[in-house]
Amino acid sequence: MDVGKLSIAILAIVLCAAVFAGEYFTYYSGIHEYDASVEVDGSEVHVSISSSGSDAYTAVLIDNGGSGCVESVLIYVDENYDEYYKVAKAETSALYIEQRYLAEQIQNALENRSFDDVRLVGSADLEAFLDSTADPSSFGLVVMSYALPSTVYTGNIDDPLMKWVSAGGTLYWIGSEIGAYFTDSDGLHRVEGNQVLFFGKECVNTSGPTNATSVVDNGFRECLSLKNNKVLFGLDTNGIDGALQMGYIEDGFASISMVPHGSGAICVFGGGFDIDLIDDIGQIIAAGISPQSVIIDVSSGDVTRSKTVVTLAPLGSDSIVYAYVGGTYMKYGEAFRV
Amino acid sequence: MERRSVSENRILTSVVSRVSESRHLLLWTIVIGLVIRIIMMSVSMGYDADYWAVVIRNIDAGDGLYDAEGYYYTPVWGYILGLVAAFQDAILCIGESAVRVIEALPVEGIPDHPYLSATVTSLAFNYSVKTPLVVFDLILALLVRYLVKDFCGDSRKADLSFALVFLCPVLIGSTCVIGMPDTIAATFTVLTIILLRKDMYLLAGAAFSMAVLTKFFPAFLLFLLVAYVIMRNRERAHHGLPQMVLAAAGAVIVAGVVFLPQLISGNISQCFQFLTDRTGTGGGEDLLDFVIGQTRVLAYLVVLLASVYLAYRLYKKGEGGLENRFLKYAFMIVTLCLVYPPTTQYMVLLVPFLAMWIGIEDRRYMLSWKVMAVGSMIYMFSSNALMFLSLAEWTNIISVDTLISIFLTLDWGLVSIMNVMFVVGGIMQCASIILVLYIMFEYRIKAHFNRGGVNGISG
Repeated sequence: MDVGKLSIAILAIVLCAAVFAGEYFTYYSGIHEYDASVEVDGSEVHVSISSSGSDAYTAVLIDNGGSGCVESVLIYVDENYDEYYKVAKAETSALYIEQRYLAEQIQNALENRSFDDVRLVGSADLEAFLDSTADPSSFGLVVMSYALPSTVYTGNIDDPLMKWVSAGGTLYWIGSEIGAYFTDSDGLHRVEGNQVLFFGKECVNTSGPTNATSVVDNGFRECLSLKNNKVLFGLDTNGIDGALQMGYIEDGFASISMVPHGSGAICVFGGGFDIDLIDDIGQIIAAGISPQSVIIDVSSGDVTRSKTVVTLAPLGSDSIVYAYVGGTYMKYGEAFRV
Repeated sequence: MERRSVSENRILTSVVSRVSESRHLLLWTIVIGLVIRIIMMSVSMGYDADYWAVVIRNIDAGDGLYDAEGYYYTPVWGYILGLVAAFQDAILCIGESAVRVIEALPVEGIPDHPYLSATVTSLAFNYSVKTPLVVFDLILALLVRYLVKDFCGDSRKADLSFALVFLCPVLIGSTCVIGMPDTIAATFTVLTIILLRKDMYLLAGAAFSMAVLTKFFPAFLLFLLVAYVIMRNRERAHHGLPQMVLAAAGAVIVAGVVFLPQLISGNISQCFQFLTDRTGTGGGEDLLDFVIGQTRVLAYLVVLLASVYLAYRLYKKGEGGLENRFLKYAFMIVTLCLVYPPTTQYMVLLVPFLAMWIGIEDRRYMLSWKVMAVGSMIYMFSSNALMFLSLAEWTNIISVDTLISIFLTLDWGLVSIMNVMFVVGGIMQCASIILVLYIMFEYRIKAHFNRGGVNGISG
């Protein structure tokens, strides 16, 4: 074999080997490792965060004011979503969401944040779930559909869903005007007064700005690296007692809003399917945010192939420490009730 | 005897001088190309760089390429990003790879420009991701040089082709500004041709598989490559069948290894998301999206038919002039499959073929190269001030406010500078492709019109 031919052969082998090496590092090497732990010391908490690489980290101490936090999440996958979507889009500009795909993405995002108690359910299981949780205060329900089945919601205060939220459950709503429709064997039905039912007033952004250019100045955006600035179907919570807005804001409509409802809460995310939205949902649920949440202390910086320890204080009676690695593009997170 | 020795020395000196001169030229081309790249790597089209940050995050988080939203291509480029992720982990001090820049948020709401992003990747991140692409740029240019020299034995022509590849703004823009992996596909495509010419069929199949699994376009060359292998080995036993089997084995082995993780997890369909939709949000598409999608499918179908025809032609024409005809047909197919859409990064595949043909056969194509070069520069700079967001956010050279102010000042709705540059750049790139096709078929077009032309046009 002449030298030129040999060189070309070696080059081909080296380039293929480089790709295979990348495959090994992508799937099999396990070289990317992250961890977090906490140690309580009186009114302080020491948070240890480690990374096998060079990453941004944040540790934030949040007080939930006695409201507790969500520890188990159900994601509703609407089996009939495509059947009436075009009607919902025409009437209320609902954004298309591939139900199972986004549900799996949210589940994955939560698992990356050490939040493993997540289940995907259809309409039959949803009804059973709402009926079975006598004390739903540690449960969350994620809805990504423009409509709910009539077995759980028809637009009345006595519906199983409304009673479940009032009893302490947390409802997360994504991609459409909240509670605008229900479905039964006759088809899709529009609900009148849905916004008042949920929030006591008309406050959903149904035709206003789609993108926010300002931030809600309460520290949550920075502390949780919130990214999604879409505000279509977001809430203007001005005048709603105990409401909490987070992330980005335009004309009063925020990308994330949490509103207390009875003993429970309703959280509305603006916009539709988006990587930033998936991350934000993961952050809000995993960090245990409730309408009563207040940031007590925060520490952030870089950790490079080592472990770093930061101290947060003072601890309250209902405190959560949420530590995460990766900053804007979070790679690992974990919440600790302390 | 002494006279003969003096004469030999002169020849030797002349040869050494030429070689030395040639090497200097090559060296300078490399230096200039690298300096341009090092400068250009600091600017970027935010949208794609942001996506690579997402992909690396997903890899770091243990989600591979497809478990979490963010990667829409076949795996090869993702694996290169996996290599980058490992390198970042082991060596670099990247810290935060990207940030949401509040001052830049207004650009995300500009109608009809969904690709403008206020998420800005760090300079360190940009350099680390683009460096492997620069390496591929250099290898691609060297392979083109090798192939041209192999074709015509002329170092000057080979150096010219090298320069036309390595200094081509299309390649620089795709690699350093947009940060797209088309240079990898182009490198493996040229490598496939060289390996076939050197009768290394197993490796040729492997390289072709890599090319196709990086970016889809080289797949259109399949029929032509098959015809070429058959023709090259026509006189051998079984008329090239063993060579075909070897090449197919190489391709299958590489594809098998590349898709192994997805085969094991049973989600191989995710690797081909780019063929259907890129966001997992189908179902809500409007008529325009549908028409664009169908037009693209139709365009590719036409190219596929053309590639089958050219392969058949190569086969029927026999062995005389096989090598040149093969290269010309390959050049033709690649040109045809880039007619629609003529996006800068897609055109990377055309650059080596254009440069090779200019070096080997026909300098008239220089005009096409020049039009393409100018068009791609206009195209890649269309997001104007926003290209410098990484520099602004991560250094003190210029403020983000200033850049956004410049960008918004130049944005007058439909006739914004960005739109104008986008359209003009696109038209020029399209024109360069039409020019290539015109020069290719010039004699046929002229002959046709001289005979009386279509519909009786001309005398």
